[in-house]
Amino acid sequence: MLESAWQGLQIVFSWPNILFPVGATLLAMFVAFVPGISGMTLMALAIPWTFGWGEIPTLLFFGALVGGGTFMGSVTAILFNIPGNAPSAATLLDGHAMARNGQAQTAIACSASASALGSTVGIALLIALIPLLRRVLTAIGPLELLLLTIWGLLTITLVTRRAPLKGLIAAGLGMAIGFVGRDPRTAELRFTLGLEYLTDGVPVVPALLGLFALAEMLDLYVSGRRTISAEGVDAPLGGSVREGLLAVFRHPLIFLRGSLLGTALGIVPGVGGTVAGFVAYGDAARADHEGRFGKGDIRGVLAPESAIDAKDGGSLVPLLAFGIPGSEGTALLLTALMLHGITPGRELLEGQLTLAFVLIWSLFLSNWLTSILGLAVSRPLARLTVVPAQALVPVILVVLVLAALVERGSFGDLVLMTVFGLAGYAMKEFGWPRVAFVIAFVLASLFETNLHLTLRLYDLGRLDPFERPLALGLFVALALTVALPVARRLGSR
Amino acid sequence: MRGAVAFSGLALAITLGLLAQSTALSALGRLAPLWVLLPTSVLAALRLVVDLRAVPDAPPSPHETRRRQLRITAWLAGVVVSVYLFGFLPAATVFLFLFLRVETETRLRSAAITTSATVAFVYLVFGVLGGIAFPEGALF
Repeated sequence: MLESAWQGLQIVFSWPNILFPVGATLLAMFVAFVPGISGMTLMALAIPWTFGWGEIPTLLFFGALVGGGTFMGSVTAILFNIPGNAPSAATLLDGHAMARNGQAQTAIACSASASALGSTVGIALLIALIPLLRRVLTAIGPLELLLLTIWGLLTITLVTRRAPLKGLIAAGLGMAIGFVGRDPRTAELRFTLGLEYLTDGVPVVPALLGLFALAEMLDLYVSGRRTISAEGVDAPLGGSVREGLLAVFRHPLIFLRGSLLGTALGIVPGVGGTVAGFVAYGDAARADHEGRFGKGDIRGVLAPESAIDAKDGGSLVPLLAFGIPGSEGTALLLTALMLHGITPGRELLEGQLTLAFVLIWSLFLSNWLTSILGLAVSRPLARLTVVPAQALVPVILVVLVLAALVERGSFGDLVLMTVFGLAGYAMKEFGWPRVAFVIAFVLASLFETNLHLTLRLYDLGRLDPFERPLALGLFVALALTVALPVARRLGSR
Repeated sequence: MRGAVAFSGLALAITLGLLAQSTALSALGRLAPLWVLLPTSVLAALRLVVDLRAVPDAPPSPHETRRRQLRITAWLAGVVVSVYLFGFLPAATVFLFLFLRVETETRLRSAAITTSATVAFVYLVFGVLGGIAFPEGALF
């Protein structure tokens, strides 16, 4: 395996091969910074461009596309409260608050270092797991997934300590909205109000764009603030790149937990970066005893950023082990690879391990390149927080309208984004936590599907929790998550 | 204060509406929704009672804030309707120019330059480079 890893590394960094991951990274960075064209769209567009390419350039190019855009999506989340991609929505909770506090440079620098190092953790774990990939995946079943989603839902209680009642109601509503659409078990339509548009459920991207990005633009206009950071246009930029870069080392436990969570959730097919980011955020909020999360706490940027990029390494596990895509990105990656005669799965792992490592190292390189290049432009980008709001608001509104329309080409998405935008503004105005709504919303279908599967398997006598060590471990972790804060509170009295 | 009460009332109304719809579903289909909506509706009712009985600790929003809220809502509704009727590019161009002129009282030349630059950027990046077809309107 080491020999294959070394050969893969040599291939990636040789000339002219290095041009493919660098070019793909630059392209992904640009696309990720502009809301409206997602990384998925870019990958889909790139497939026909690359029809005549060989195996190595294809692996280098698409491996870099998978990881190249995540950090830049976080930059727009920090600066404008517009997630450049859905997973970056977790970053904006504290990232944009930091920008409003004049700490945009710190937030961007923290995001850059957490992204690069988080992806390194994810890739390191992926490499370590290569001999065990198939065993790891078969150990994850409906019971384990159910426990993971319950743990994710429990984090809601941690991020809504300031308004627990409103948080629980928002979470309940979020989950109910997550149930909208056709029930996968009974095929009956639920809560669609007779609208064909809602048959496939409430789409995540327009909902998130509305709830956070549009709501913030509405707030920016209504508040009458002159700039995003409320500083004058000639004000010197606050924040410190050094402080942002060192945040990973000042909060090592939060970074490690976020990275491990991201990798673990990335391994699970269907979970995705959005879930990983929010779950990591909620997990980190447990350490917030002063109530600073949501007001510009750097840990609120560090946790989701390390999880979102660590997820990339994890998401390659089902793809490499079984040729099963675990996410939209890896589904497109699989398509691209198969069209070029590369079949992920046992064949790649056992017969062409070097090619697998070319893919892995390309992903590694793109994550670091994105962070380094993004950091280099962080200062001019941070200047955007002191651009007059009167010019910024209408321009961003136009970009948001387009972002809602181009995702699926549906006018309904624009209406949905508007509705969620007004709802998000009202939630912010009256102190209802939007993050609780979103965590429950993204976890709803995963929770329900695995609840039903678990109950069904148990009824059929095919599930014995005591024979599943991973499930037992997760159950103990859940119990500790609930019991420890209670014990701490009782002890402090 | 009235806004907070209205929002709590809206949350309760939505929860109860979804709960009512759940009863029409099959046993399997309503299992998870009922587990979620029953406690949520109880909590929402509790929240409404708390808000109704609460003593306001902050002055009501000033008239200017209300005015801005209504104006931006009107602009937003206008954008959505005009995108539907005329398509994205014409609607975005007109909205951007009018907003800059009316809301921010930007000078004619500056508004025209900002509008042109923004629309040109969007057209080049999304339309030409991205190959994305801009949505057309119902009328044109």
